[in-house]
This record gives sequence, structure tokens and C-alpha cells, in this order.
Amino acid sequence: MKRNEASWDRIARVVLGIALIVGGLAAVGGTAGYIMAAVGLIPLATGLMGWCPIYAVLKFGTREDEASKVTAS
Amino acid sequence: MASHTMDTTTDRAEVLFFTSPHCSACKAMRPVADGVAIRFDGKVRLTEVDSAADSVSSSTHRVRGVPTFIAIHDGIEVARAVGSRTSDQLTELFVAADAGDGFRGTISPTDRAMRLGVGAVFAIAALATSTPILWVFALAAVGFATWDLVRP
Repeated sequence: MKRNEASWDRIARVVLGIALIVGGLAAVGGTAGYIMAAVGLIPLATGLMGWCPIYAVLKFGTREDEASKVTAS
Repeated sequence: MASHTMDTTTDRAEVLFFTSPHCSACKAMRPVADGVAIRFDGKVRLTEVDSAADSVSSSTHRVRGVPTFIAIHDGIEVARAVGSRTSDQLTELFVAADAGDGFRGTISPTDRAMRLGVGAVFAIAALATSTPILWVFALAAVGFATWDLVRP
């Protein structure tokens, strides 16, 4: 499973996921809150893994080969 | 990078980089490995081994595919990684070769920090909003960050 998300993409997903989960469970509540939290799990999980299945299907990615940018220090 | 050698007993710390001439992933990994090796210059030697030309070495080290990285400390394998790896993951391998202590997981320091951070945010949110279910998310994030440390 090769990562296909850039760092900024991962951070954005994690932040969005946390916001949806915390907002849904702590602020909205009820069925709508649980749905928000469930939806929030998707960006949170894909952000933490660094891999997006939709990107993979579309053969798209925001991640350049960051590892190849390593240079001698 | 040093040329092929299997004299692992004379090198206290070494990372063997098994490649093959037609392996595109190996070519892609070469600058990454070189970049990490430079940071460990004088402490850990990176040695490239052409597995196609040296089947004996590949067999001795049970290399099943390339690229394969094997951390050697005092002539003993302490860690290995198979396939493309990030510079963070290769750094862990070099640290393992240098310290003589095999790293047990595949979670990079960056990923671990991110997951622990998410756990902390959930914990703070659970406390701030008095929402007990958020503790489940906090614990799950911490577990996701540390599973490699506790697995047998």
C-alpha cells in the first residue's frame, strides 16, 4: 500500500476528521451526530494512514516522492 | 556507496542493500539510501549487493525480493526491511544497525507523533466536553500509534 497523500493532505484530513467526530459527538449529538462522527472517521483514517483508496482508484495522488528529496546534509 | 562486499564481521554496523540491475524500485531507493547513509557516515556503512550477481549472499541472507535492506551489527542481523521505504524508515534501520538493537515496527517517528497527537486531541476534547465516548477514540489513536511496540 504505497502512500499517495502529501503531508498537507494528511494534516487536512486529520483535522477535518477530528472536527467532524468531536463536533458530531460532543456538539450535535443524536443520530445526526453519530453520522457526522462516522463520516469523520473516513478522513481521519485515510489521513493517519497516508493512503486514500479513491486516489488509488483514480491513479491520482497529492504526494510527490518526498523521500527522494532527501539530500546530503 | 561502497561496492559489493560480504565482509560483515569486520564492520561493526552495516546496512546491506540488496538490489538487482532491472529493479526500478531499487533505482528509486538508491538516492534515498545514500541520503540516509551520509547522515550516518563513519558509524554505519551502506553496502550495495547485486543479488543477481551474488546469489550466495542472497541465499545466506534469505533475500526473497528486492530491494531488501538488512541491518547488521557485529555480524548479526538485527533488522530488515523489504520493498520501498521512506527515509524515516531507512533511518530506523540505520539506527538499529548502529545500536545493535532491532527496531520492531514499521511506524515512522512522524507517524507515531501524528497518531499520538490525535489521541491527545481526542483526550482533551473528551475532558473539555465531558463526552466519554471520545476516550474510545483517544485510546484507539494511542493504540494505533504503539501497536508495533507491544506486538509479540
